[in-house]
Amino acid sequence: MKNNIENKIEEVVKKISSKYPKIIIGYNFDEGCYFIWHNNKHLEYEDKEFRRYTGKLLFDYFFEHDIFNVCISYDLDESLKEYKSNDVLDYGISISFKDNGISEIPLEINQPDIRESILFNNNIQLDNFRIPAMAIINTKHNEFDQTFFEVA
Amino acid sequence: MEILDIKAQNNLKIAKLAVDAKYFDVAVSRYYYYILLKIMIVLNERGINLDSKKDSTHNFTISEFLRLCKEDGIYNDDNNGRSLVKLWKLKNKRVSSEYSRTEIILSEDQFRTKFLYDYREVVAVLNKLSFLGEYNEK
Repeated sequence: MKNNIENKIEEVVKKISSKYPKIIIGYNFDEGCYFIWHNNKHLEYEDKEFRRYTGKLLFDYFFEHDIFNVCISYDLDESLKEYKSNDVLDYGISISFKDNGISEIPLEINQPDIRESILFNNNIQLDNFRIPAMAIINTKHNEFDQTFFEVA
Repeated sequence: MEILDIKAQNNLKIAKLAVDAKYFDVAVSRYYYYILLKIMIVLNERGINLDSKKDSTHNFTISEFLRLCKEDGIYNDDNNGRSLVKLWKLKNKRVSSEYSRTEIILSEDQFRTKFLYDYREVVAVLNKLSFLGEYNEK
């Protein structure tokens, strides 16, 4: 059964998802804190409106009620667990998965943090396949690619 | 300078050396302890006794500090609270940097994404509140 904080967190997650429908977002509890994680680095570190909106949600739902162990942040590792075939990663990069026995990450995955997260978090599962054996990423250029990733 | 402050400064120095040497997991740990020790100094100055909380120093310290920040009206700016609660994330990254058997940070890109951006956010607020004293990352 969910506790009061988890019910509040689910409301917050729903509000954020509704305002930012492309975001992949979820939460977990670890070592004393609830982490609301999402997949959008640009929103987290660059978008003042997103930060203001989510900061106010944190205040209204939690700080105002003396709950201080809830945090919102970008977390690629948690987000990767939620990706399904053909989902769109940050900023228009789509990912598809094949159980084709590939044992290396294809060179198409050239975004350093995504590539390394896949390589060094081999306990993550997607579509029942181990990540190091399955990923092909297709890049779609847009304005954010140039800013945040080195896209070949 | 009090002893905790000397320890904090020593951790900061080692953190910078670790980044230079590309020992990023060590840097995560030392940067985290730098902030934690600074916060402990603030709490001590405000009369909050941490000595009896040895088994749960980290969680207690962070919780008490965040509670104190509310008392001081620091969350009236939404961004301050949003950034400060990332202390929890820094703590968790410290744990995985020290003990994880599946995760290691091997590049500056990973270091930035997994730790440094959030660390800088926290530090920016702490600097604004003058909690860190004269802090310069580099």
